[in-house]
Parts: sequence; C-alpha cells; structure tokens
Amino acid sequence: MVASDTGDGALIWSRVEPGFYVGSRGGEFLGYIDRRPDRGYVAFDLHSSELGAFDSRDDAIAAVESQTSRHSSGAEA
Amino acid sequence: MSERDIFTSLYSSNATAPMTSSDLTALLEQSRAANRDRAITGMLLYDRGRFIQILEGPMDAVRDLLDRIREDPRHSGMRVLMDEVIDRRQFAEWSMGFLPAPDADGPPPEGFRDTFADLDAADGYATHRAARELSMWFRVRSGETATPARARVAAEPQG
Ligand SMILES: Cc1cc2nc3c(=O)[nH]c(=O)nc-3n(C[C@H](O)[C@H](O)[C@H](O)COP(=O)(O)O)c2cc1C
Repeated sequence: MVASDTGDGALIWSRVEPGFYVGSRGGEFLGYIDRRPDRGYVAFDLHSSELGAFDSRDDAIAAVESQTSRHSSGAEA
Repeated sequence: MSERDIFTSLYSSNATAPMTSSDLTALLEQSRAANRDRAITGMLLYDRGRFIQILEGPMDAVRDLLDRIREDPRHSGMRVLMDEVIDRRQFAEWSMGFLPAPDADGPPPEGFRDTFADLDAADGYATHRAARELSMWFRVRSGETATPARARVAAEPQG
C-alpha cells in the first residue's frame, strides 16, 4: 500500500516518470531524484542543488530525507 | 515590465482529436509568437491525447490567455490544477517549451505515488501536489534539454 495522502505531514514519494522521483512532506517539497545514465541516482534538494550521486535509489532517497534534519544546523555541505 | 507579481497556472485538458506532430508544431509556433508579445512563458506537454500546460506571467495576461485557451476547439475539459503567485519565473527562457510524453513503464515501484494518476484524483490535495511535482519535473527537464525557445522555435515535437 502506498502512504495515505492526507497532507498531515506524511512523507510522500511520487514517481513522475521512471527514474524521476519527487519527495514531499505535508505539501512541502524536500527534493527529487533523477537517474542519470552515467551517474546513477542523483539526489537534489528543492533548489536543485546536488546532494550526491548513489548506486541505489534508496540511498538517494535517504540523502533527500536526511537533509531536513541537517537544515536547522545551517551547515549543509 | 515589473516582474514582481508573477502568476502561474497549470491545467490539464483533453485533445478533441489526436494531435499530429505538425499540429503540435503549428500550435507551438502560434503560441510562442503570441506569448512573447505578452510576456508569457511556460511549458506544454502532450501525452496521448492529454495536454498539460503551465503558464506564467503577469496575472491579467495569464488569466486572459487561459480564458482564450479554454475556448479553443482543439481541446476540452480544461481543469486548472494549480494557480498561484510566485517570486520569479521558473521558465524564463521558454516562450512555450515543449516536452515529449514521459516514458510510461507500468505502475510505480511499491511505496511510490504515481504523479500522473494523482493528477486525475478526486482529492484536491493529491491533485495539487501532483501538479507541483509536474512543475518541478518540467523545470528540471527544460533545464536539461536547455535550448532557449528562441533558438528552437522550429523544434519538432516528438510523440
Ligand atoms: C493546449 C493549447 C495550448 C495553447 N497555448 C497557447 C499559448 O501558450 N499561447 C497562446 O497565445 N495561445 C495558445 N493556444 C491557442 C489559443 O487557444 C488561441 O488559439 C490563440 O490564443 C489565438 O486566439 P485568437 O484567435 O482569439 O487570437 C493554445 C491552445 C491549445 C489547444
């Protein structure tokens, strides 16, 4: 089952097309993942700054999701 | 012109007859010339009988254009899915970019929502989220294939 989409802060990942996934929480975008033929799964924040390139989609998702917890420190790489 | 209040609107609609590639080229050429005159920018997607278009520009210009497009016999069933004021243009280089349909590949992986399915959802929250996801995808794809519309007016639509 997919996550319910109630807008109450649930984390949601959507596929726009194969290889392109957008993550959001409670209507706020967290970022997206774009699969590139030469680089694997590349994670981006919502301003399209790159967060890293990964072999697995799950690792790219983790990179997008974890940047929010780093956000308050203001010390993102 | 002041760029302070840029209004953006995203709608979907259904073509009344299948669009050939020359139909699409004609539509895009007409749109690009008119949009340049009105400071309208945006992207158009055509996917198996469905249009999705995002327009941005001064609010009055966007609203007027939406009213005109709504009357166009080439499509019907226009649904505005997103409608908001934004800080700056997302498609400043595109008098009307064109994106070929995304690759269709069956249902999304387990645990993922399907943006195109959610676009048709009855639930307004899901629809709005899907519209914003599409807008994000438009932006990324348009930047990637980035050839400004001016240099690409005659680009052949695919699909
Ligand atoms: C899917 C779709 C998208 C369109 N997009 C635009 C557009 O971006 N700009 C535009 O001027 N006309 C656009 N048109 C064409 C308008 O509907 C209309 O034909 C055009 O504005 C000319 O209107 P007029 O004959 O009243 O001057 C679009 C039509 C369709 C069916």
